[in-house]
Amino acid sequence: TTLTFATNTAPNNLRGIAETIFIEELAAQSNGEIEVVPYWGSSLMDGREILGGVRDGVADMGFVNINYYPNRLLLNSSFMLFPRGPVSYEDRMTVFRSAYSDIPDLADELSEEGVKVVYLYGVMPFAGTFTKDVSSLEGFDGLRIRASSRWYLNLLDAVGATPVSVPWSECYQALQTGAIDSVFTNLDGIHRASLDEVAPNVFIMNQLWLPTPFLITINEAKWEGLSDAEKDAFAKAWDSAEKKFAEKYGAMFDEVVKAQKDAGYKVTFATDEEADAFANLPQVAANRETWISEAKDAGATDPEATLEKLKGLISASLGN
Amino acid sequence: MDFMMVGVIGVVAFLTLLFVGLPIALAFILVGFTGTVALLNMNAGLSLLGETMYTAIASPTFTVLPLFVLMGAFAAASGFAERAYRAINRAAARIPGSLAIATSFGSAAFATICGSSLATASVFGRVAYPEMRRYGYDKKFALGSIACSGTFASMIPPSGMFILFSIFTEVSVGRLFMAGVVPGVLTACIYAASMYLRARANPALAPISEEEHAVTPRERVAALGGLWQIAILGGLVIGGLYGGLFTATEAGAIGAFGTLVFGLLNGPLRRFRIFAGALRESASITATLFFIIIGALFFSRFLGLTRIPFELSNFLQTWDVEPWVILALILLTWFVLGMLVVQSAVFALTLPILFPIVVELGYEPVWFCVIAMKMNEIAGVTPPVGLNAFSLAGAAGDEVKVNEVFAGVWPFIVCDIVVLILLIAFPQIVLFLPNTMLG
Amino acid sequence: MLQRVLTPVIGFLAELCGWLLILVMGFLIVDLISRGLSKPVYGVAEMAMFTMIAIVYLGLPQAESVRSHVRVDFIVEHLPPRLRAACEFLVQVLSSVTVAILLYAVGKNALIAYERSQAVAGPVPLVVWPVKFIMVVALALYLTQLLLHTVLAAQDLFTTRERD
Ligand code: NA
Ligand code: NA
Repeated sequence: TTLTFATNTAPNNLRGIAETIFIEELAAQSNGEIEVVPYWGSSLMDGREILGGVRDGVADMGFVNINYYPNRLLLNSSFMLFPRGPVSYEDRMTVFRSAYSDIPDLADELSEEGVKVVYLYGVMPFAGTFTKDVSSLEGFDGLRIRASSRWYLNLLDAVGATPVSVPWSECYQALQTGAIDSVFTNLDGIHRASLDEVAPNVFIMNQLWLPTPFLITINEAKWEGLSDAEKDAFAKAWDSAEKKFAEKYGAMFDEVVKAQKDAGYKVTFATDEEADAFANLPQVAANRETWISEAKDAGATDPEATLEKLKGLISASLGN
Repeated sequence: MDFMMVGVIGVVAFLTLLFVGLPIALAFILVGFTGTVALLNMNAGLSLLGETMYTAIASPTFTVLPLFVLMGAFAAASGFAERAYRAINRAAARIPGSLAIATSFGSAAFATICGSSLATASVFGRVAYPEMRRYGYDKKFALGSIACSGTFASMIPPSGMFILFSIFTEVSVGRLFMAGVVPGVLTACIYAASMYLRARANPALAPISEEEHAVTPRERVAALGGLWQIAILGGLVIGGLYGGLFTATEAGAIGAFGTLVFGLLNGPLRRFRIFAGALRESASITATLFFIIIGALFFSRFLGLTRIPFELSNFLQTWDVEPWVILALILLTWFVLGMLVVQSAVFALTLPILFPIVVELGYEPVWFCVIAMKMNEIAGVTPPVGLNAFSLAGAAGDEVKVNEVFAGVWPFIVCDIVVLILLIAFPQIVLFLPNTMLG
Repeated sequence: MLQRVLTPVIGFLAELCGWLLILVMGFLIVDLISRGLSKPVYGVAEMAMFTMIAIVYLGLPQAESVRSHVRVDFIVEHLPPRLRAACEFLVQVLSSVTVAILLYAVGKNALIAYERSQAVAGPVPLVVWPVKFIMVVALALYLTQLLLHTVLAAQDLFTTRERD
């Protein structure tokens, strides 16, 4: 079987490597029966279009970033309501995978969009890259900080920052011109887009775990058409790709930090206290309230239960 | 059916429809849609088309284009071109070919506030052409000067075409704007030098008038003072980007606003008819230009689906020739296409495919876009499809035929080729400014 | 007949587009100033983007009515009158077919965007269906204008034939 795959990343970065490993494992686990033809770098569809495109068969498989679909994947965005999470790659994957197996609402919401998750991976944790010398959470006060998730913009507001939304493509110039003071996103994204070049004070918040599972989805009808052996190959590929990528992840993280230090940038790691302070902001609870009421409006029967389950999984992983 | 085959048929069908006279945007869409349906199915084709029509331009970054179009329209309606032309003409009095030289530098000055080659060529067609003819300048020499100098508007920032390139290549607009400054000024100087040499060798091309002899040195210097408004506006936009004060989109908003303010203070934009006309014209350019961008992006997605760009770049990377051979082939392709096809279509069709290949070969992305811009300037004035020439012929009046414009452009194309060779031999001419300013 | 109703509507929209450009400029200046004062107004840049999309689509019918869509006509212009009229008719038919497909595709897309409340990610998700329905209306007008031009082209083809 040949399957097309649409993604918005280039093949040669952290995300591209994660996706390539999965594609290769699919071929290996199916003894070459499954061949995936990738369309890298938004050459077929933009990040925001892939969900609908996979549903309509523009591509058989596609990368889905939950944040791009604020209303359509509202339930799946529940991860973003838990700022504090496990640090190690393996633990993060355990939380994500158990969430998708234990909370049927998440898969059901994707099923309504006509797609099914066949793999997920994670990127590097949250970091802020600042034009000014910032090395603690207090330093956020009064600065104009850009983030993409609405839930995190609220949290930044709560720590005294002025949250702003600037298109990702304009971030470099916006930092350089002083239109904004900082971009708050995953560390690898910061480094890949050279944002640290113009905002060389990097504040890494490892404990904030980047709570977005990056999903690889498949068109449901296409999935139903696969043989049992092929479906089995998908399951095996998930396990082995996850293991292989986890082995590389640590080294890639260290590489980014080293490259930043070598370039003379100031790299600071948040303390546990700072991470807790961020995670215990009153705005976290307010975010959950907003989310629950919006989820109810959208027809979810018991969003509170979803949050409870997720909370349980994350607490178990954090060991408390 | 073989994916590659569908792609090749698609390209041939596109060119056929284009030459039959179907609007470019619709040719892109019709062929792209038919091809996608052939490769996938009806439902997928409709889905991709419906979605692309929105997402192709649904990025706040794209608002920069209409803003600079608006700025250019305000500038053209406010008489800025006349000011630039008169001031430089006075300063260059008694120099052989002074009116032509004033056209070259006047266009370059006007280019710092106007991003459209067509607007610049047509405005100078109304301003400079009658003057040159009044003083007995050779018709072809005059027309060639105006048509070719008009292209500076694209190379010297702000530039609608660079914004278009940025959309297709994802190279930062600010960086491209910086990179165009030196090559644009260099071209203006080389044009001026060639005008001077030609006028001196053949005074019949450009007779020196009585009035010019009367200009005193003091008047020359005073005349340049007439450029202050342009200097402020151009300085605000380019300097703001250069000094890192604001982003390209913000520069567009500020530039348009500033031009509006000057236009109101100077008078012309206070007349409602002129003001509304400038608005209407900008909206119309925005609509037709963006429709081409949307169509081109949809077509390039169809081509992506056929894997032609992927296979082509694989082939070119493994092809055992020097990278410069590939660059030369690309330039040749652009030259030929530039004669036959409207510029926006040439680059909409080729940049998404060629750009990744060239970057993979080790060429600097910003430099490559400037080279593309140089070819774009040449394409704008070469027959049979040369929009600048058409636009000038339309603006200069009934007695000017477009083939007379074409007859006058060749000496300037030689100049362009000289500049092109310089840019290829010394990439630092292009890269110096963006690298020092933007890191 | 229909053209007499259509022309003022299309003309009004074209005029409106021009004024909307001033609105885009205003939005961005507000965005710039508010950000400079550390009091960013949410969604202003997005509103500028939505307005720009509306300008693009609402301007298409006018561009068709004054025939200013960019096209290559130097070959057609050198054809003998009858062949030229035939070419022109073909172009109008193909244009109408293409825009009809577009109208259907965008209409379908707009309905889905409405049903699933598709939104732009941001501090407050902004739904996109309003601008998508503007696109639908604009494309419908564009198609109507094209069909009228097709009728003219057919008449022209017919009369050119009689003159031969
Ligand atoms: Na310009
Ligand atoms: Na040409």
